Amino acid sequence: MTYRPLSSPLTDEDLHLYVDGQLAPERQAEVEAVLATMPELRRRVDGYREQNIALHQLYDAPLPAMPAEMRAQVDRLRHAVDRRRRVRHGFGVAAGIALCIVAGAAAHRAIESVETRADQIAAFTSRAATAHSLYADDRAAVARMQVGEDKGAALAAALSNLTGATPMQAPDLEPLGFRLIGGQLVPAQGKAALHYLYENGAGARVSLYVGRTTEDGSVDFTFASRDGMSAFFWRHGATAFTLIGPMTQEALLDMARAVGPQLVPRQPAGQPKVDEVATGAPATAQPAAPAPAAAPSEPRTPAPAAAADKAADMPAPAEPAAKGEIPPPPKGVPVDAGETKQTNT
Amino acid sequence: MADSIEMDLVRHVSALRRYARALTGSEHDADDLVQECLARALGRIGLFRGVTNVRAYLFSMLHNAHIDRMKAVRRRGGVVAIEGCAGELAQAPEQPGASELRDVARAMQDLPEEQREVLLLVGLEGMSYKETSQILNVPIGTVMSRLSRGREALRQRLAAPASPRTVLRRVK
Repeated sequence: MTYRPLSSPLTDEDLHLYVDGQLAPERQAEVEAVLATMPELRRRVDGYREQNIALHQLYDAPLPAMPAEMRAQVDRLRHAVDRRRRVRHGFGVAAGIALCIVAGAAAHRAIESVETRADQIAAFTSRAATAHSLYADDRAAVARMQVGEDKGAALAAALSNLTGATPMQAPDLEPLGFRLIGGQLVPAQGKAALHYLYENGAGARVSLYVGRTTEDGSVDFTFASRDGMSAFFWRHGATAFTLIGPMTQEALLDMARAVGPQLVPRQPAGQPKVDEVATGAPATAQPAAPAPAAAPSEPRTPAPAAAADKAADMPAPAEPAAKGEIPPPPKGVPVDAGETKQTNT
Repeated sequence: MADSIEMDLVRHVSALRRYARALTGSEHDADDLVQECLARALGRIGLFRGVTNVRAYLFSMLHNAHIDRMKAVRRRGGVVAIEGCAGELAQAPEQPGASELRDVARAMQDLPEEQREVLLLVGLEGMSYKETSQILNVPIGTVMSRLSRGREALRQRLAAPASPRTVLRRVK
């Protein structure tokens, strides 16, 4: 970081990076300083720049209208991207969460540890979002997720195992108008994660995703939203939770508040402090939602438009990985719940 | 949301068409190549959905389509070398500076194709060196050396008849 007249010898690569505006700012200053004293080099660099300008002058000519066939291909790709967004928007949500946490907690911690923490939360939430988007909209998948008595017991055992508390049942969200319509174990980084799916009277589906993380320590409800999807992440010890669905932040927070305490191991010390919501969106500025118990039969069905407004508040998410790299397709093959009975401790 | 995806895609496809024109020197070949590239992307739609950098991905599909096409041309033989078609590029001859720009176009077309690709991706399409290395599937050091050799060759060539600086000033 310390500025020296020339921290390393000027290379050909420096010159091209300089021409293309891809040098780091410190190095750029160094290169400029050298160029100021070397007119011959300066001319060479200017020549390269002018080549770029010439290329634009040559090839930027307006294009004729797209041939119909090409137009049709673009339409088909767009549909694919639309679906891709739905499948993968979780990565955006996750990135949003990372931003929220950096903004909310950076003051208290060293930046590196916050980033590590944020990355882990982002990774977890993106897996949750992937699970939600892979299964929640697919009728056949939802049918396979149906929870009978046996499977319900197996999932409950897995849930107990994950949360370190026995016995534990799938959280009850009936008071908020959501009933459990499915559950499954999904692989997550070589371990099993639990995915419960809830639906309300209007057909809105919300996923609860529970898994173990390598990080330990409690994290309060952390909100992120994008494209009309909202997510809350929280963690007790090494057990992490994400609730995700096409809800407003307020409605989802009600659900998170209802779910959270139901999944806490016996010791009350581990309860999340729901009032301290680390969030980039103005959650606390809104009036408190009615207590869940006050409206037992009234399904909370936020208009999609309201959720979209929220999404607009979120900062543009960073790319989850290095640009241009093609990530592996999302993994979400369900593991048969019946096989994991023996995991109960 | 859908509108912005649409806009992005249309922008990417316009860039692909522009790049393909510059690469092949032929309007007709270029749009053929772009359609082949889009067909490939559609053929691997599962992969496409997982792509984070759509623009770079489409360019790499275009590059692959181009490579395959060149191989086929070489197999068939007897086809006019693409390199010879520089003059086809759209540039009204009456425009001031047009002849100098044609010199640039000709010089570009005379470059080895691997250098031309890099110059176009970086200089025209504004790709980072990393993106360029991914698109062309070569190490980043190779991108660097092709860029360096290509730019220097172009500069030498254009410096010979007249200074490119004055030329370009005049064009503007």
